[in-house]
Amino acid sequence: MGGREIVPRLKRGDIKALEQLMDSYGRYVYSVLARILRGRSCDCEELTQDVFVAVWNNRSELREGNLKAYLGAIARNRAFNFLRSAKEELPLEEDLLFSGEDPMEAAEQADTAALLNEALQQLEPKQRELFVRHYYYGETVKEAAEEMKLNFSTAKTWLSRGREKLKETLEKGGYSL
Amino acid sequence: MESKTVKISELLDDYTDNEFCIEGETEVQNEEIKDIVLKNVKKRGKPAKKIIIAAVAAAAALTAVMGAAAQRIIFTGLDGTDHGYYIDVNGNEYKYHHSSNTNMEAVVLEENGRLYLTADGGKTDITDLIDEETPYIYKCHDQPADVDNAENYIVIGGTPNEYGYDSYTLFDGEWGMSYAVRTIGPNDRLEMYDWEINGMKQLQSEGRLVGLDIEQIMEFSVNR
Repeated sequence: MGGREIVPRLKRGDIKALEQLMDSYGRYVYSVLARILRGRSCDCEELTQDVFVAVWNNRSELREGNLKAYLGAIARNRAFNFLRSAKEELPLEEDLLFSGEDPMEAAEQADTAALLNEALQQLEPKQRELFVRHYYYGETVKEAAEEMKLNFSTAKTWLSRGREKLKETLEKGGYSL
Repeated sequence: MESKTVKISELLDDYTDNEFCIEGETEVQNEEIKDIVLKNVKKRGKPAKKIIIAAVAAAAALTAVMGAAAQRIIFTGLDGTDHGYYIDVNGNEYKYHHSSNTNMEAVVLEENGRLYLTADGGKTDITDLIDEETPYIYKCHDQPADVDNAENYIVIGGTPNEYGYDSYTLFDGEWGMSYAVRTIGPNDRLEMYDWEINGMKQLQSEGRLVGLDIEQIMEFSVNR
């Protein structure tokens, strides 16, 4: 189901569109939450509800595009906020890719999603998995390394390579850093 | 020039995980979730509010045994700050302890027209999550200092002008309850607030408060 079809219906207040959205992406949203919250099923269910209620309440601001990514982003933010409110910090390894002056207007930035996918696809599958586990799902380096049966320092090296590849691809693709 | 920060975790907001996602491995009651969402969004007049249960690390429980409330009787304790309520139902007497208002800030704080949960030692703005009917429920992790094998839940509700909390504690196999309410201006209200009743019902539906006779409490509450 694409954003083109469903977003206008959501904006019109079509409840059936919300039902279809949940049918299509409910399990995905739940699985993102379950991954980040390490299977706290009660909280995952509550937060899944929150995600779709939030989409509905803010439907006037919806844009056509990758709905699945959008829902995933809301789910991740809710999960990370939940962990922060429970005093669980997210120790993300060098999360800051760039900080400084921005010579470009935000509107002139290149298509981030495409560049991101391009960068990640250049990584070996296990390196990509590690990168996603850490930066998308918020697993600590130690947790991800243990799950993937990697040496800790290998994991840190792979993440460093992933960050370099991401920065390089973004800059080549016109994303200003 | 404007300053900018770029975080990897935020860049990944544009990412969709079709490769490592555990979607096929998760047990999810999608239909149940759908029903709750649709019920919430179809409600008229107000945005959906969630009754949220979250874990916190501090205990603020004051314990007593409470039965059904025919009425609440207030007296001032010998120390001049605490009020004890004796509730008499069918010849049974229950001691019901009310925390002094000076302790309230350890659980909920009003500041500049906003309400903050402070039970975990932090400060979480819960103003938009509660109202006269909708409670916010916290599960305390730490046990009260003088009680073994306890569970403790705090139910907070109201508005910045009239708010309070109920604290439910399980100890020695029995549930107890205490509460504190603060209002701007005089308040000699004795009946339970809707958020209290809804919080109690929510906890019961979660399988807590076993043995606490909520129906009897409801029957005698002057809110009914």
